[in-house]
Amino acid sequence: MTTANRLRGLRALIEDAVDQGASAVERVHRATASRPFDVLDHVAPIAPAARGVRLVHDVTVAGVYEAIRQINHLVGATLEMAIEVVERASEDDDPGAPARPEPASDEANPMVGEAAQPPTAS
Amino acid sequence: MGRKLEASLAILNGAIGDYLVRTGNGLATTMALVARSGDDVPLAFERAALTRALPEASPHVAIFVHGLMSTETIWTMSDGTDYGTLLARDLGVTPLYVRYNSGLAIADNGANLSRALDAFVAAYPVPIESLVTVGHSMGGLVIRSACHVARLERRAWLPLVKKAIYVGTPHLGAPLERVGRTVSRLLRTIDDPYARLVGEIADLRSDGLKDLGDADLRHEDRAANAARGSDRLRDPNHPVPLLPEIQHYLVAGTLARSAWLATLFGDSLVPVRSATAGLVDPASGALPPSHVKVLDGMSHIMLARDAEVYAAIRNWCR
Repeated sequence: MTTANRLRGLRALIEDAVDQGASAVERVHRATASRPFDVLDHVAPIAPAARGVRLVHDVTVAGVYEAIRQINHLVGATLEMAIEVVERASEDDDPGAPARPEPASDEANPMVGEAAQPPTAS
Repeated sequence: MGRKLEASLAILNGAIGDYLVRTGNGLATTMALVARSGDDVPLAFERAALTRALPEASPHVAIFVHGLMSTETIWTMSDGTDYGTLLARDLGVTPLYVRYNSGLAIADNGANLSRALDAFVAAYPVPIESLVTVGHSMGGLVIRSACHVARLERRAWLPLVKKAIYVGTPHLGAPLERVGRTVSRLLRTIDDPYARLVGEIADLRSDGLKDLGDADLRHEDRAANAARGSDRLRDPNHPVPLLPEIQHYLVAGTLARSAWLATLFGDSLVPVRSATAGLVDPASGALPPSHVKVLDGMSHIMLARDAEVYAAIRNWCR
């Protein structure tokens, strides 16, 4: 497990956390907001206006959370490029060093690479 | 890499290690054997490499398997020694330490360990006369799972295992995980978005952690529990017995002075009944009393690095 691979892992983990966290908060936001809208929907005089407000609200909420996810992916992609640049620079500094130094080959250690495989069941 | 980083990664792997593997994340720990606690370079299972790494390889080998969210440094005592280095000094045993992703299902880690030991035994510089396994907490269950797989697959390393020592291993499951499982299930049934969110977050815990609830050693056990919608809090009836051809030894700790508190909470994480596999009852006759050591005033973590526990292990390994 090289340092660059660990950095990539950390980047991916943070990106996943922000992505899934934003989606989870969006679900709670929508569920919470739907309660007063559901009540207003049953009040005949203001129901049509409330439906319009709800539509605007839902579109705005979807846009905001989607923007968070898109910016998150953009930051993730930028970090990935930065890691790539640093990795190439360190390889250029030490041309004799292997690009992905691993302590044991796959043949010598049957467990190397195991972590990349999904578990057989979950 | 620094020990603090490795310790942080071990915690991360224990919490969400199955997710890291599923997503091909570079932070996932790969199973490996190391010759010394904290070694950066895992052992390569080639005879020449093992001969170089283990110049004083003994025909008697001890394998140490850590528990959930740990690395092999869990065994390190305050003076820098550990049960392995002490066994090497006192009995001439060659100690080896397993490092693994404790967030994977116990059955996956057991299968990986079985494969690793097979390759290791084949490449070991001298013929192995005896293997002793020592597992702390979840490590003991991983060993049991590995033995189960090795028996089914007729692996060459299994007949070499003469003794298995379980230190604070929840053979009958961990009640804390069963309580957590029930609470998260209840939260998800409440018709409230916040409660459901908390339930979903609680449910993110790894397969390995979930397996501790009922000490599931096989995929079929966890599948059966999932199908049953198991929310029982009582100890499960374990379907995988201790292998009779191996001599088994159990160490349990108790923190509380009161007898019933000690029985309920044991070393704070594993009750005495679970750590002793329910075999301390003389009526069951499953294990001789000399194979079981229950230590008062001992926390779950201290069991992995205590002089009194080592004395018992040394005595059993003679």
